[in-house]
Amino acid sequence: MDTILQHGLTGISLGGAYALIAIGYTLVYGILRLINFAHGDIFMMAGYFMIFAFANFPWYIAIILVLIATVILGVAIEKAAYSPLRNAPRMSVMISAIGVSYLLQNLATYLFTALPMSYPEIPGLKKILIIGNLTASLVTFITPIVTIVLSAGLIILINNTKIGMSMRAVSRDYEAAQLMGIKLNTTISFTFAVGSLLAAIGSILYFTDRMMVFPFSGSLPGLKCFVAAVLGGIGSIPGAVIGGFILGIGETILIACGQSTFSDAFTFVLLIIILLFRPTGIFGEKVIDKV
Amino acid sequence: MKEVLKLTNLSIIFGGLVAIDDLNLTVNDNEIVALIGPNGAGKTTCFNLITGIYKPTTGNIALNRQTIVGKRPDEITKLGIARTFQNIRLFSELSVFDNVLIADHLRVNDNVFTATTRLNFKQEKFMREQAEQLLEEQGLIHLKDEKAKNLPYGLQRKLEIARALATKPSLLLLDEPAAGMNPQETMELTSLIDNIRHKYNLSILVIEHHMDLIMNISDRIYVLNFGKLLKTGTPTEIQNDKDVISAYLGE
Amino acid sequence: MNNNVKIKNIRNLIISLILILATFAILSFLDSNSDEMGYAISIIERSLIFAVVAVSMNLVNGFTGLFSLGQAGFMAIGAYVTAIFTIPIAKRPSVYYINGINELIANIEIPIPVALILGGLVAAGFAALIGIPVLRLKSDYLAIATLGFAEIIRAIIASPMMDKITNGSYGLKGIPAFNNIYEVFILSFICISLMVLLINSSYGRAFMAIRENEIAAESVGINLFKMKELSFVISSFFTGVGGGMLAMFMRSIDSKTFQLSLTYDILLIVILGGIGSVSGSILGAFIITAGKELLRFFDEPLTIGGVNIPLFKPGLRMVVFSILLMLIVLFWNKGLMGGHEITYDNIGKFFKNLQSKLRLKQASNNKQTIKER
Repeated sequence: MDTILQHGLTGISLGGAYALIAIGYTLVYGILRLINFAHGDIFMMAGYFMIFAFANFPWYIAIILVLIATVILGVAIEKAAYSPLRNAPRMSVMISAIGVSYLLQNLATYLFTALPMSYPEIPGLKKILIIGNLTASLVTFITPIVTIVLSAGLIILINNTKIGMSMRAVSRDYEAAQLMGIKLNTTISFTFAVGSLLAAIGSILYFTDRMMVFPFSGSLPGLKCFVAAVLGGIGSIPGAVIGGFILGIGETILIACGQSTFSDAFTFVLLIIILLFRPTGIFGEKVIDKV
Repeated sequence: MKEVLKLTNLSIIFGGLVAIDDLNLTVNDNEIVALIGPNGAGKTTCFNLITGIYKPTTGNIALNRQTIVGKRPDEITKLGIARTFQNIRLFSELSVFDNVLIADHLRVNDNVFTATTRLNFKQEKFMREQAEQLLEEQGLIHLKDEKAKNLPYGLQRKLEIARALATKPSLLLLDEPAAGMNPQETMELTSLIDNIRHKYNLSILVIEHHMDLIMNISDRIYVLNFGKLLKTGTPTEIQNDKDVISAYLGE
Repeated sequence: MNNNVKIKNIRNLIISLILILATFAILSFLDSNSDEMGYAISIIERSLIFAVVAVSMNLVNGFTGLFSLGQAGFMAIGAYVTAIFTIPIAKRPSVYYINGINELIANIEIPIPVALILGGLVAAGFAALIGIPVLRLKSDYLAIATLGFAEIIRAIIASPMMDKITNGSYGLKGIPAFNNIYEVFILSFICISLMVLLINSSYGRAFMAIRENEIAAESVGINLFKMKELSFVISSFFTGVGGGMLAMFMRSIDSKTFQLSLTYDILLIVILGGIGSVSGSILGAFIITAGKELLRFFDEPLTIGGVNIPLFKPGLRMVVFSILLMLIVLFWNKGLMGGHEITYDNIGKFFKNLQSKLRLKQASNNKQTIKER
């Protein structure tokens, strides 16, 4: 019983980090109909930012710097690689996203070498807590809480603010939204900023637990989180959160059973199953193609 | 008279909205039937139901007395229903010739192996001849190597009709074929439609807003309003009907 | 009119014959001087193999309009199947000396061509399985599903469970090599020719119809799912064969050979050559493969006049390559060929255009000089 709870806690914690990244995918897909292949690599870069920020500044300033730098990176990528292709075929934009992902990975290899670098320990986060029979570090306990608070905040933002309304409008029909006086580029930039911010927070939680960063540490989690977003219903924030938790827990259970090779495969088997039985995901709405 | 198409008690509901409500409609052999009604009345939805893009919530669609509900769009085309689209859908980067040739593939029996190894050269030759003949008949042959997207609007419409004819349909569905055409072009189109009906022995179901075209060529007219059948009758009957006039002009 | 066509056909035949002779002259020169020309030969062989894979990627991505990113995975399947069944039985104990070999495959050795085809068929089989759920949906999901599939294949190949078949993370060695450059050339030629024949057949036209407009394609009687599945499966078959050829070229493989970056390399080739152009893909394969070799100096430390330039260190080459990819996508998304093919007619037209352009320029220059006077 205790081991089950223990694994459950680990799974929920991993799922929380996944959820934060999945939200970034879901937001961007909702607005641009683009799988932002570079999102996982933005998350990876946030890991490297932390290593360098931490070496030079006290931890609380380092965290703020990491958040700012990641947001700048995300928005810059949108401006440089996606916005010039606004009217290009969708495949071109996807290829551009792959290109950015490839570039970030190669850049990281070039700048930081392919060897893993150790992630700094933010004071307090690794402190071991014992609650009842459960033993885990603080970060494991706070990850799901942070995830839920942030996603609730985001939902409130989207439903109750002006910029949130612009985001909803653009995701429905960006041409019509433009005609209504919504600034398309500002809205898209804001979406990327939010996605990157959440990815940066996710990276702090994820890498504190993993303790290592290397140039490809964003690629597989990135793919998985996109699957999480599809599972929850692409475009839906609660969907992304729940999808992230399902993946995190499922994966942890498989590792606990000694099937770590298949813990990665699990994600994609899950993807195939969703696509077979419920292509719109848990919270997705059915889209009717106009003919 | 032989019934080619028969819709019985056809309905479709989109998330609470009844887009087509209990529609009954028949098209007889070699007949031109018009489907008219204000925007949003469900005319194109009706086409999408017939061609299998949407599945009806209830009711039946029969082609030559056989139900086609639940069949895929490509299967329905094979059974003899071809269509054009309100917003032209050509294979725009391909040549005029290829646009028609692609539609011809239905009429030959080959597989990927014979096609790759060119063992199907006889069928291929047949397809090419058929496509050329059709373009010749439609007066598009001099444009055969032109990219479809480079054609003027009127000719794109014509090419779309030619492509539909290449599938050798028994029923042709035309969705606003005269949209965006000037009176001269509309007149030409009117005679074209009448012409192909006799030449290829077709039944035609046409959606159109140009009343002179409708009144000129259709044998019977169905008027839809809010998904419901409002009236049906000959052009003269419809022209003088109070309900139809008020549906179009508002009370 | 008819006479013109005849003359053209004869002309094309003559040019083709000359080209074939020239190709064989070059190949035989390379082959007979294989000791000195080893480097050139290996670049050409690698280019040919990548050309096969790039054309097959173009078949599904460029001609059918589906976005598949599973190339590395399908190549891995083809490579491992080829390797497992062609490593000479006598050599196997030394290849599998750490984990031992599964008894079922220990004594099966099949001829190389059969093994290559088998590798392609296994890859095609996996593609068919993935295609069934995914190809009914939007092609976005195909990108993720194939990308994920490629990673899973890699993980499974390297997993301890597969030790006795794939030799786990140690990889396979002692794969029989090609005897000469002719074999590589002829194999690639056959594969690419088959794909070109397919693309120009009624099925190729149906693929392009789907790329242009799915709903219209359906309305003229094309079975969307069947055609998409067919294109995806055939493309994966040739990708698998290409993988098998790569295994023979490299002679030793392990799961790291088939990382995502392999798929990205092929994507770069296809985009550089032009999406939807076979000759572009072939050209791209040669340019990228040769370029990668030529740009090796980026990874070496560089010292100019005793000063060490700090920029040059391992990894720079790949950064340059990814920037190149981005530049092509953003500013030159038609690639070299922009969906056109290299044909004799087009070459003729190209030079005529060039000529008339030059003439125009000359004329305008002349005008200017006249004005200046």
